Amino acid sequence: MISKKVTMVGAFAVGKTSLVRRFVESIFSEKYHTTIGVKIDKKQVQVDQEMVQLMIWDIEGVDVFTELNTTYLRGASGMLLVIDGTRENTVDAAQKILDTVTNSMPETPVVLVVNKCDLKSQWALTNGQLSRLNIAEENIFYTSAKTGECVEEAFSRLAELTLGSAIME
Amino acid sequence: MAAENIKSLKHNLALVEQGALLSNLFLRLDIAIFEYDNGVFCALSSLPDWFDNLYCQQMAAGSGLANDGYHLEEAFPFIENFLFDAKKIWQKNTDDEIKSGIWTETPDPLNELNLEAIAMRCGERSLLLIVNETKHFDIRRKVFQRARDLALSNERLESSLYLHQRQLHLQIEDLYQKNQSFDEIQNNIQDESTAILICKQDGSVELFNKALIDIYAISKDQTPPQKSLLKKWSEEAEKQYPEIRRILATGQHWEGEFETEDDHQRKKWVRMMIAPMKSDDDSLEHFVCIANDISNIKLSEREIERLIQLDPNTHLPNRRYFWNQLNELVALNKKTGTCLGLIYLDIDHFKQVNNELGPEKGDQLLKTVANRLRQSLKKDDFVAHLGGDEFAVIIDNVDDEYMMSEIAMRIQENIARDVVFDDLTMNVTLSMGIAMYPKHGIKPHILVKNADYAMYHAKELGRNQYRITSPELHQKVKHKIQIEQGLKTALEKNEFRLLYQPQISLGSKGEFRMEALIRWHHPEHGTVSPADFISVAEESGLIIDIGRWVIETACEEAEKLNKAGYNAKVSVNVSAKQFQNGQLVSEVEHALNNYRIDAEQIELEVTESLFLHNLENIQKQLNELKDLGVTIALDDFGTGFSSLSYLKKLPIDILKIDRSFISELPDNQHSRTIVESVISMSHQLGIKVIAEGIEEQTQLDYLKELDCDYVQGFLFHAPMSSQDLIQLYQSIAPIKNKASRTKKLSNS
Repeated sequence: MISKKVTMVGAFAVGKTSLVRRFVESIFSEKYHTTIGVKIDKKQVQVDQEMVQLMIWDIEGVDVFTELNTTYLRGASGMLLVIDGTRENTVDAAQKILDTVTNSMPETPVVLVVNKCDLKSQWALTNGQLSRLNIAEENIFYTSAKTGECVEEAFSRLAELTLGSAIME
Repeated sequence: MAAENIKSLKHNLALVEQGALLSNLFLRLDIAIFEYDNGVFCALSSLPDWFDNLYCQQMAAGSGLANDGYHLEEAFPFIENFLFDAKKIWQKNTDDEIKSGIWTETPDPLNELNLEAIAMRCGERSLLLIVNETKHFDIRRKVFQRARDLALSNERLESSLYLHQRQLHLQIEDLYQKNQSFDEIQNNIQDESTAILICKQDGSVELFNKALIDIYAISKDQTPPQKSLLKKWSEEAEKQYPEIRRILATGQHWEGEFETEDDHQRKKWVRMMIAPMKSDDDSLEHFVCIANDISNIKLSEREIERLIQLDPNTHLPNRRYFWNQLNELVALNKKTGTCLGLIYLDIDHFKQVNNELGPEKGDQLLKTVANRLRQSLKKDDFVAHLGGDEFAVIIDNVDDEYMMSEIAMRIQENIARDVVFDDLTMNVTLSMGIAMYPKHGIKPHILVKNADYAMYHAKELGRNQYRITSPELHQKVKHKIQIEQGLKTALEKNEFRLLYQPQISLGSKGEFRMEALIRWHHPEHGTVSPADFISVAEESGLIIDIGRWVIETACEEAEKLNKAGYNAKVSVNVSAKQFQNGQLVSEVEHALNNYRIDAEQIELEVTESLFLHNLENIQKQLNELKDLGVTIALDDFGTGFSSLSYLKKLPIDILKIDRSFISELPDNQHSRTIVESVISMSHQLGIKVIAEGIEEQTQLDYLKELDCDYVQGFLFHAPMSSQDLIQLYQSIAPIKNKASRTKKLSNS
């Protein structure tokens, strides 16, 4: 079975860990537990006829005190870039991460996840803000770790892309 | 043969004990330690249970603890990734190390392990340590959790303010566009909790609401505000937003946050939007200014900053906070032309406490020191925990060094109280270094370096004291550090050599004997005196390797002399550390065998200070050396405590009278009495005597009268190279037949 390393990156408190828990364990907790460092989870995904084991690196979110440790991204076949639909600032953080990654790993496929879509009343993003990130529409997912909406789809898409990159390699 | 086997067994047992001790230590520190060699990790000590369980879990069943070592990169993808950086460190031949950062493993759904890997090079070995940080992790997580919770709620608050200001702007603009009168607009905004002011381009006020009066504490007799608030705001905001004047002058929209002062000169933070209000023909008529007091948000931002910059154990500011504070205060003192004092502090023997009592007690000790430091200082003084056992104190606006000395003494007094743990009580002391701004450095990093040098010097002088830095001290310490660094590689680079100073027999039965004296040729500093480097080598433990080299080289020299036809005795200085190391006897034995020389050709010189250490053990080693056949000389006799009981108890063959007594002969009555008594007493105990430092003929004549056995000094020969020594012997006692090995060197 093919194994692929994928990374979860984004600003702090956007829901990276919640998305992983929802995807791997089908669990959601309302309480925000900050991540320190890295936690690695595994889950098998079927892409077409092939099983892919995703090694999901849940990386501590960036804030004014914590920068993204790019050594954690080494060898990743894909990246799930997470923003919080209710917080504009998280788009800026995502933009910075993208700038870093496109410089050091330009070929790494990126799936953009706009999380917390269950909080429509607090929605703060516009399509214009997202288009700045220059990510193809088919690679953007509006998810809710709380309800599970589109979580599987986002990870499945990332798995497909990692396989695509593997074929390209 | 049996004795040799026992010796070898003892040696092996000592190694096993050392190994067991280290293994135990790593277990207590919760560290799994491995050596990396040819793609495989070998455990260097017993592994903690958590590691074994985790490793077995990660690896496929049955392949867990393979005979060919541990495959950590297979078990832990995190380690696999870290190996990339680790290998770079292992390939370098330096003492660098690299940390992986924390990663989390979940051995079961209820438990988490928070681990960190450290790669380092130790001698020729590539080491990987996996440290279990779970115990300390909780405190760290709580700090970050609190900081991020606060940051999140601030972000939400700021977003909602921003949104509200925009909605208000649209509402007012709408009213304005509909040509509503200012009175009507006023009615609409009067009770709004956000401050609103509408003014002309020159700042003259058209209307404002109650919230503005509240923010700016405008008194009733000053309403409406007479002075131009627009001008005041643009001046205040200009410090952070230099473009604001241009923007307002061209009638554009501006938003931002800045510090402002109310009418009572109280500082506040406001978030303000200034938007143009234009006529139908698009000409600028008014500005609408919308403001909220965000002082509370700013306060909690500072709280976040504070939380992140605190050491989780001592709750003192950490290194990052210290540097920010020092930079800020130096800049401030530069402006005001005042002085600042910096104290660098280090807990004496902390490493020992941490190693012997474990990290928990170590942390407890750090907390106690932190509390006592706080108590020793005033509220405005700044104290930080820089990491490990290092602390720093910044005293702003000090008068002079005298004031800093007083503070240092106060700290010293307050710290030097017993610390009571559950089952033991210990006394804590600090070494401190002081540097002053601007006297000892105008740049923060120079100031820190100088305080650090002074602290290092305080440690040198015996700890539990403070020292104020000075250019001389700086040079001295810098030189010493260079010596220390240089010593580490001096052996490898072959920078040491031995010189030999002949010792002359005054009796009828003369012999060839000499003292081996070490010299170090430093590539930059030239010849470094043993007085400058031996103590450094002793402190760092390098004396063990250097001492071994001296013994080997002295034996090599004896062999060379043997081959040249001279059966000579070489006397070698030995440090107490070599005895403490426990390998001295086997090292001497090895060197004697290696160069195939008689044991009696080697003499070991020890000083009286040696007997201050575990006398029983020293006595045992001296006896073992005597059993080998080497002789023992007691050096510098008379300068220490000169206990006669040691002469009786210990197997001393030769006693060396210190040069300080000889230099005063024969005129000084006191020295004469001492020298006479020592020679007489030694002879009665069957011990021979060497007088060193002979420079005058009168000294020699006097010593001959006293029947001194040997003399050594510049009156005869300065220390010389091996080549010169052989030439000297050949000039005095030419060898015609090399089989004849016993020749005399006499001064007659």
